Amino acid sequence: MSLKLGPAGVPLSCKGRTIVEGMDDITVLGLDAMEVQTVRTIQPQHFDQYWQAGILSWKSEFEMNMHGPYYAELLGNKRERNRTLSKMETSLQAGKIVNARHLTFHVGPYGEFEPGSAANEQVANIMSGVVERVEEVWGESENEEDYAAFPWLTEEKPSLVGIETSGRQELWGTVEEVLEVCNHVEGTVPVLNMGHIHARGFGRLRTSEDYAELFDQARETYGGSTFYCHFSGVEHRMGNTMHYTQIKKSDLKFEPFAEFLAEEGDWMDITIISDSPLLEHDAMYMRQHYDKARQRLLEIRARDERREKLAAEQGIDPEELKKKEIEAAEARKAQQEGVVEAPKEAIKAPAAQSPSKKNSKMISFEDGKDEDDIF
Amino acid sequence: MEDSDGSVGNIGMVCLGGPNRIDGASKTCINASKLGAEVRYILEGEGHEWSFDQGGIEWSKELGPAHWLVNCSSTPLMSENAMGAWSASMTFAELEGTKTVMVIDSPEGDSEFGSSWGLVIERIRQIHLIFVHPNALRAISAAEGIPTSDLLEEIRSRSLVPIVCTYNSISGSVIEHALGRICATSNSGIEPLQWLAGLLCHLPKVGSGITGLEEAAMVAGRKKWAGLK
Repeated sequence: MSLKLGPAGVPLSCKGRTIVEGMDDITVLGLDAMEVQTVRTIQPQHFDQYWQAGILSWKSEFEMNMHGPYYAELLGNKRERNRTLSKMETSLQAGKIVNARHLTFHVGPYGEFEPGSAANEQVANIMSGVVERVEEVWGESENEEDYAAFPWLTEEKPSLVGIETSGRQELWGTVEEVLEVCNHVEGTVPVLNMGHIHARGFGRLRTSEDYAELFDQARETYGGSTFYCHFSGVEHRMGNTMHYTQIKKSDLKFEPFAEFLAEEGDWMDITIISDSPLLEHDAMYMRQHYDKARQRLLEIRARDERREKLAAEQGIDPEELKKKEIEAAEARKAQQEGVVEAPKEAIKAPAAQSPSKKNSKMISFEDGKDEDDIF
Repeated sequence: MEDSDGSVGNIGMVCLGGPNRIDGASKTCINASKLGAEVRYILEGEGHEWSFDQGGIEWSKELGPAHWLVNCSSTPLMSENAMGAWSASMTFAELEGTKTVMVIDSPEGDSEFGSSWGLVIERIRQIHLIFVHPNALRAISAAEGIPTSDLLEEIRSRSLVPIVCTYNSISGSVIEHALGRICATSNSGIEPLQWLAGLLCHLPKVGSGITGLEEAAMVAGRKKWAGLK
């Protein structure tokens, strides 16, 4: 399994603001990917730092990716579509220079279409044009001499075009729609924005089984094993994303995803980009949880192996030995609880509150939290 | 509701405005202070310059129990340290649970405004309330290619910032939020940053639901509330 993690943009803690400085900081933090944000018009002066970033990523194992325009209207009228395509063109030109492995695009509102096959077909047609354009921009291998400064153009495959799931009901981009289009258009990859999927599915991602179901659906429909994901905490309401939050403050937890990846993610080649308000902090939080889940899994496996070995030595069934171990553990636990019960009662005072927020005389936003709280 | 003496009391704000107090964040906090809010200025006193030691700021302590961290878009252009402090303040505010307000100052030069707006966009997910000064509306509209009439709605829907608002003394306030739009007319003649100060002082008291937001917007537009005769 290959798992790459990184922030969406230059880390917040980075003193410099260039992409290369951001890459250095990300590497120091033990992360290995970045998604460059081209949310605004790219100026020609940016191309020099893009190329430097491309060279750095080419010489290291660092994965660069690029996010296209945030606002897209691919299903709109001709004028709206062309305006979006011209913004996308800039992103894919920049993606070439930066050696982007994935280019992420939104589709936007359903526009004149109803959700269904006609809209999906239209998106598939547009996206196959985008894939062709990416290949065209990437260039022909015969032109190798012209591309001496861009070694990845001849030695790497062109960027994959990522189609992102959307977080609002009025936007094209349910999981089903994205997987269907990616299944039909070679060169595309689903961009599973977990926050969006969770919000649009009314809080559907709660356990590792929910993630297993999602990726099973992806495996059955799309068939590929390459995935590109966004992860952030999210506030949601009525199936719509309200706003992004840090992971710890959201009902979308990373632990179940980490558990799923550790236990069942061996077949996957996955990149996870943190687009939370705490970009690199939350990316590191995710890395820690994934490492913990891996560690726990290895411990369980080691225990099972040990049990099998012991059972074989004692000539009993491993299941029987497991049962005995559980009984012994329960007895131990009961004994310990009996010992600590008295002191526990004694310290049953209210939990200490954070001095900074809770003990203050100031009014708290949380005190009168409304049903329709904007925050 | 305001207290019987008309002051808001118990509303905490932390301001990362300039030492000369002429930027949007400082002006907002000066107005809020007049209304009774407890304001803590990160850059205190005259003689302070933008070349301060940003690494020496203890953000957890400074933010403490404050409701709002008030920043403005022009700060990061002042110096490297200002830029560092501006960035760090929003990250710490996110961690501490203090909500960040970003005042989009009126532009002084086109190129500078483009850079400052670009920096705001990079941090947009850490911002809870954006106030666009009426003089800045046109500049952002030009930079983003969006008509002024749709601008606030577009900024909100693209960035998912919970509240995006503006105010001018002629047409009143427009607030775009996660559940729709609130428009309130006002003929009180108060200044945009006075209105913002009123909103920030009132919002924590009435709750950040739609009714609370409506009430806060309305009260903020009153002459009496803004401390005008």
